[in-house]
Amino acid sequence: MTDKMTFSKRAEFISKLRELLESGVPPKKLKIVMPHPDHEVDEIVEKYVPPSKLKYFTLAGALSGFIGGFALTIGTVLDWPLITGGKPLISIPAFIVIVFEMTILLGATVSLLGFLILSRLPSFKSIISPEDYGNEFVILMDRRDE
Amino acid sequence: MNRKDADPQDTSSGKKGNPTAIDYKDQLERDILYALKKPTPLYWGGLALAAGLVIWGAISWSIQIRTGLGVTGLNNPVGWGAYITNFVFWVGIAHSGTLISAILFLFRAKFRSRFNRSAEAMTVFAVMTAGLFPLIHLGRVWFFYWLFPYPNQRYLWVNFRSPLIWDVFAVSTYFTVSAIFFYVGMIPDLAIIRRLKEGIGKRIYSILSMGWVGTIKQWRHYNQLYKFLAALATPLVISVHSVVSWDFAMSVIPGWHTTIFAPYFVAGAIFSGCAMVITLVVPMRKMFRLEKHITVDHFDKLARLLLFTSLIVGYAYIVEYTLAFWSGNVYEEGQFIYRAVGDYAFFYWLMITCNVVLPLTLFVKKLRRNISYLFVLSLFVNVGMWFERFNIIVMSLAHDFDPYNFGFYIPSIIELGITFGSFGWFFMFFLIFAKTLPILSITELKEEVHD
Amino acid sequence: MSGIQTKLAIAFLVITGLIYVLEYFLPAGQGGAHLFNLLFWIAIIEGSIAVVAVGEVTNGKWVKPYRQELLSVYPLILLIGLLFVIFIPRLEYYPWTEQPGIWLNKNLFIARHVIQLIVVFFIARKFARESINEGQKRAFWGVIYLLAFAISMTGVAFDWLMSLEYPWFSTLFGALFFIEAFYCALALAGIFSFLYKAKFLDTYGESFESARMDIATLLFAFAIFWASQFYTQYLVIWYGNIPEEVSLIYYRTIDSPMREFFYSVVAFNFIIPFITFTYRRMKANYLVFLIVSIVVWVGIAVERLVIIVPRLSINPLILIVEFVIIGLMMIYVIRKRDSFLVKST
Repeated sequence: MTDKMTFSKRAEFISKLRELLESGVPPKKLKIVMPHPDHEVDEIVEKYVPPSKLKYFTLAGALSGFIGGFALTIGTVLDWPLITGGKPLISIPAFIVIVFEMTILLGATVSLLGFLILSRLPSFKSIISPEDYGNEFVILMDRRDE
Repeated sequence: MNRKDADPQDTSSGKKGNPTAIDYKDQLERDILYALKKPTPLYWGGLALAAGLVIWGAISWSIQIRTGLGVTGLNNPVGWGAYITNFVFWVGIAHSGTLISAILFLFRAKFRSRFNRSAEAMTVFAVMTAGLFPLIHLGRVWFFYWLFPYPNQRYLWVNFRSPLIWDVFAVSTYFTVSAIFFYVGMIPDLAIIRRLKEGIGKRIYSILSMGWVGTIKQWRHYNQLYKFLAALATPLVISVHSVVSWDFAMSVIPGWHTTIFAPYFVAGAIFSGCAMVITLVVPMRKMFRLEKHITVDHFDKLARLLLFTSLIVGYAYIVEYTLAFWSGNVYEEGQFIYRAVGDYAFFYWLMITCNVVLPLTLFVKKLRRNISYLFVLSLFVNVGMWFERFNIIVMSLAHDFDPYNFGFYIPSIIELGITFGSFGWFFMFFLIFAKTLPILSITELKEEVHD
Repeated sequence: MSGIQTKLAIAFLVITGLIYVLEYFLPAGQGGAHLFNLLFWIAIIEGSIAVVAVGEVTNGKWVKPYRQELLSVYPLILLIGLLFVIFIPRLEYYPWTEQPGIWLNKNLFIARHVIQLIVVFFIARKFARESINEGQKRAFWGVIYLLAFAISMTGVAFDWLMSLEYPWFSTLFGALFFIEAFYCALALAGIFSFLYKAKFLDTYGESFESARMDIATLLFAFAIFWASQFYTQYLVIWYGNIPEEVSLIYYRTIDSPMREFFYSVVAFNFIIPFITFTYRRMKANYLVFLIVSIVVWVGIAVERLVIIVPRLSINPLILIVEFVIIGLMMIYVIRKRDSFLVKST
């Protein structure tokens, strides 16, 4: 069964959360819902949970964009070599623009993908029956194993 | 403890005395919900006007598609005119939105939170407007897909050395990233509206918010995503308008072939975009009674940004002008004399007045804090910046090297129709946004209550 | 107060004399070393005050620990003025002296730069005093200084450096110069972070750590910004392929060692700071910050040399000696900062 604790004051919520985590309650058993993000809560929680893995998605996206940009530009110009404007076939200064844009494009889209995967969104269960807690801070503690 | 029973029209500030944080948050939600109420006749009038302009633009474009680009005033040597002006103008407007959302986020400038939702919306719609113009200017718009590199039976690939292709990549990337940034920023706010609505409205916002709950796990990933998007969007802003400026700087004609174009255009973009934010937010604030949330102090800070970018634009004008004479290059000198006293001299001086002289008044604190003054000034800046793009494009083409090649250009009625149509298109989308999506970043404002 | 003023005045005159001897009584080539030092040090000096000015105008907390140290370099503007005056005989090597125009003629050149340096000195001094006293008008004087900084740095870039390649011009040159000035000044703040770490932690505690991280982040951002502007200038010249412009790049990339120096500029100013500071752990490390700051200084120095050397020959030994002399003078001025730049109670 789940214990539901609601707080309308932020200070009470933070002290209760700190109390629960320090008393050894595994973070897996806690579902914490907040109306908005909070620095202090982040600082408390990051001692007990590993950091977000989103940065690996961003890095992967950016790198593939970087390499993909060079691959696309150099590959296509070697496939059909057309000299324009007296520039060399593989004109790196010009291609850097394309590479840069692709780095950012893939970096951003893969980050979004990573966020959706990591947050388990879109969540069809929550779309059909949304959970709303208003402007209160809520801690739901899973007491099933006790 | 949802205040469903409270009157959404009641915009008086919560409890008397010392309103608690949760009262402020509830009040904030009520204020935003008020903006989403049934539209007034004034709103319908504005929307009808915008739609009317769009229809005028659409008719003009259809005439152009039927007849060809000859219906425009474009000629030899002035092959680029009002359409490219509009393209650069709208991409420029878009940049300010990302600056306010992403760059001011990285600089931790607090005043940004009052403007960033409208600014992000402005970005997305401005890029959508700008994106129309390469298509319009193609003439044979049905061949637009040739601009993308896809394997085809002609064995042709796009010319990656061309600034026009750089534009395709830059503007597409910019649109995608801005749309992502806009949407991601709105997810928690859409969840709030989902909570406050009933029936079919609840269903729609439920889908739009993707079932967001607001667990700490989701918030942590969300914060990371927002930070990375802001960090990615920042170089994107600078690069996209640099790429657009390189459409001109990569040529060799005097007035276009100059190295300062990239930062000059970026500063000009932020300048015109800030002015457009003021143009949009001042009436919106009044219509939706948001005076408590967007105060004079916030406008003061935005006005300072406007002033700063105006100084950079002024610096660029002075440097460009003086170095043309420094070099002793007769073509450069000829071009810049033409700008001051030639065929389009009126528009040149209009541009100088609107972009450099008038914003200098913002050094005066009283004027910075006068919202009506800021609104009027922003209109002048919008006009001035549109003509700046027009001047750069048309004057350099009309007066390049050989006097035999000098020319003249006036936009035709078709081009005028499409120009006004683009303004209508932009305002139409913005008006629809104002009535369907949260116009303030509710979650960020709630977060601030504790700061 | 006037004790330190007299000391500095004497020191400046001595140094000017020393450098005069080095330049004109020893085989110093065409004075490239002298010009290099003028350009390098003016950028750092005016840039440092500009960094504080930006901090004051934007009400940034990050500037507080560094304020006194960064502002204390302002007397050196006068030293640069004196060194500029003894540079005047070298003006004959500039291409425009044979055919002077309205703007580029010796007399106007000398007059406007001497006046400009004096005016900037007084504005810098006024701003420095307002800032250190945390006066009401410090944001106002910050804005005035920044306007003077922009005009001064642009003028220096165009007149002292770009006119060497007359009639070539690049409208971005002035802006690139003052971006580099700002960049160097941030690197100087990084050097200060290492040297004065104990003192700062003592006085400011936690807020010093966060200020330092902010400066490191700013340095990272400026590495990217510098690279983008350098690339912009290069791209326009490369793409236009106009012979008069390309010759500038051509003579600097055709032969070793010039070519290696040219590419090393990008490595020092962009690649190394960018890759190092992408990692948060690196940003937090004081020694790494010091090394990156020095790398940035080296990069900017090499860039100046790459532009100067094909036009004005240098004697490397004299360059190093002058560099060290002026550097020591700067260290002395900074160490004596409590004598002329403290908060008046």
